[in-house]
Amino acid sequence: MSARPWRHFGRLAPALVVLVLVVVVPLGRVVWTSLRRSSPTHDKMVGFDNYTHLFTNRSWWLAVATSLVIVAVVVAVQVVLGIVLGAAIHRVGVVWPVTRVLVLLPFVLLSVVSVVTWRDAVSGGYVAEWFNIDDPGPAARLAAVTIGEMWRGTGLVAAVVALALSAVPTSLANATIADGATGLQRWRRVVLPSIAPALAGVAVFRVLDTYRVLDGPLLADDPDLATAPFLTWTTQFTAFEWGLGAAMSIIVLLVALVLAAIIGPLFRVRRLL
Amino acid sequence: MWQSGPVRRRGGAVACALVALLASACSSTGDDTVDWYVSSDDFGARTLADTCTDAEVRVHELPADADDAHTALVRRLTADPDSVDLLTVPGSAIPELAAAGLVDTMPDTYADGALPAAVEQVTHDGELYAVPWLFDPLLLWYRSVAAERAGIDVEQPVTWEDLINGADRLGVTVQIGTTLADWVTTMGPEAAEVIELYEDAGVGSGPTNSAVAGFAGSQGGFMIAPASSWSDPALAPLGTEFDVAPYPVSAEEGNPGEGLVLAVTSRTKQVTALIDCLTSDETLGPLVTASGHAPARTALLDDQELDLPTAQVLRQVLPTARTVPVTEHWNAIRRAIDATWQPLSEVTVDGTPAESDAAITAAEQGRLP
Repeated sequence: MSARPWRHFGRLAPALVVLVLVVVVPLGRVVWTSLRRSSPTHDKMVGFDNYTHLFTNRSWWLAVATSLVIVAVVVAVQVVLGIVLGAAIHRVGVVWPVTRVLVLLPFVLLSVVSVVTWRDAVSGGYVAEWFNIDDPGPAARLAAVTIGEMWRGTGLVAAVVALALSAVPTSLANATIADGATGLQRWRRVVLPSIAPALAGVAVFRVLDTYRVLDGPLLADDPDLATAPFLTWTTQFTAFEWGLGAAMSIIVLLVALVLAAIIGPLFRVRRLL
Repeated sequence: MWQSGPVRRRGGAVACALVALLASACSSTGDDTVDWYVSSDDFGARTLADTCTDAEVRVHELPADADDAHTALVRRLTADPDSVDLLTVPGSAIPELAAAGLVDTMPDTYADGALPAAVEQVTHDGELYAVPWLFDPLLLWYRSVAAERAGIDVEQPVTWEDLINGADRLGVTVQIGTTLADWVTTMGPEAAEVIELYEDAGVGSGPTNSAVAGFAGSQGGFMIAPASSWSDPALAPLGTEFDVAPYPVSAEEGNPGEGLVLAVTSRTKQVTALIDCLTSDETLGPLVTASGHAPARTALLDDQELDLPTAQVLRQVLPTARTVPVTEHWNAIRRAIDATWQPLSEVTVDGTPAESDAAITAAEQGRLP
């Protein structure tokens, strides 16, 4: 019995080799680099110095916090808006072929484009004109970056919700109507649990996709507006402190794993009821 | 057989084409071509290359922003050193490149006759890592009328206080035509004090790219800028109504400056010959006159036929010239200064220098502030 799991090893071997090559080796190298002071002019083992420095550094945790705030706001708004939009699209089934292209269009744009558009709208553009913003501070620029990211992803959530809704069996809906359930009850007890797996999937995707946001802060070009990936980028590719940058990427990865671990269960059917 | 012959052969042909393409991409940096990277081409690299060698020289200009230029250069040198043959960069970049082993050593003879400060900057562990080529002292540029009316005697050392107060009284500007880090570093311990005074008087907007245009404009009076600004076309409207004097005195000794140096990734015969031509008197004479840069080998300035209006002041300040600190961490220090001394209006004597020192120490250790 104990030998059986290895029975197909021969056929799995190529896949395993590829996995080791593209995941384990690079990750191992990042871990190794993170234990060194590695830069064009330095290369020595420093143990966990990079990690202890980051754990006690204010600007690093400020950047991580900025990332998490963007994620929380963006994903919360996107999921709510996405469900509403998705339900509306599902109801007006006739327009679906056209709308599914329209709602996905923002996502087709590179995020660079949406970021530049929103940044310029806030600093001297039409948003600045409407709300009389003279000099947008870091907060306004952060808001602009966040709105840009929100605008880009909401359509995707809506499209996924609409697709999930169309997969809810009609017989199930008819049965609840026969049982005399109210609209709200039907929605909460039947529809939402049915689309929950799809919602969880798209939410995890949006969380991780928003968490890695780099172009916004990079283009807002504001030293007070650093996200964790942005700080990792400047450390790695402008300051050339490869060891510290590697330690940052490991922490960014760990935070991402924690985020994914939290988001998944949040959307489990029972929790919603 | 599951795969037919012709398909396989076509696959092979594609693979061959691919290998050929890669091979040609590699050989494009071959022996007969020189890739010359210059930090800012205000000296006519193309023309110089054409006069100095028959070989094909490709001139690549690095980004104008010092930080972007450093990023581009280090990325290129660490990723593909063979794609760079000759480098013309400020001397302050050399300590880092030398410590990182990204540039080759040069024979000591190339330092003969060059300014001590310029030589010190490109010497690492007792070896010469670049050839001092040009040198630009930062000078005080003044419009004759403004200096006279402000009561500033340019024959004597000018203090920052007199300069700023004089400009303030007259309602003219003191343009700063150097980078923030250079300005702050060259003023030494009194930097915060001077900047507070400068901001309170409101006599300018601090370090800017448009200093020369501002100096020549209607509000222009004084300017701190490199000697090579002389060749800037924006000065033309002023005719002969301006002159230069040594940099305002400060606690630090000597007149600050920065020079372009020539460095190589590998000391080949071809690129050494090019350097020999670039540093020869025949090349440097016309180059100095046309560009306003001073030569790092100052003997050339003693040539009385040299048609350079700034020559007299250059001869006066060059012997005591000094550079920014010679350290492999200069770029990190510059970034730390940029991060802590901006905006200028928020600089305070009590806070900024301490904050800046802490940021510099962190940057030198490769840490976040």
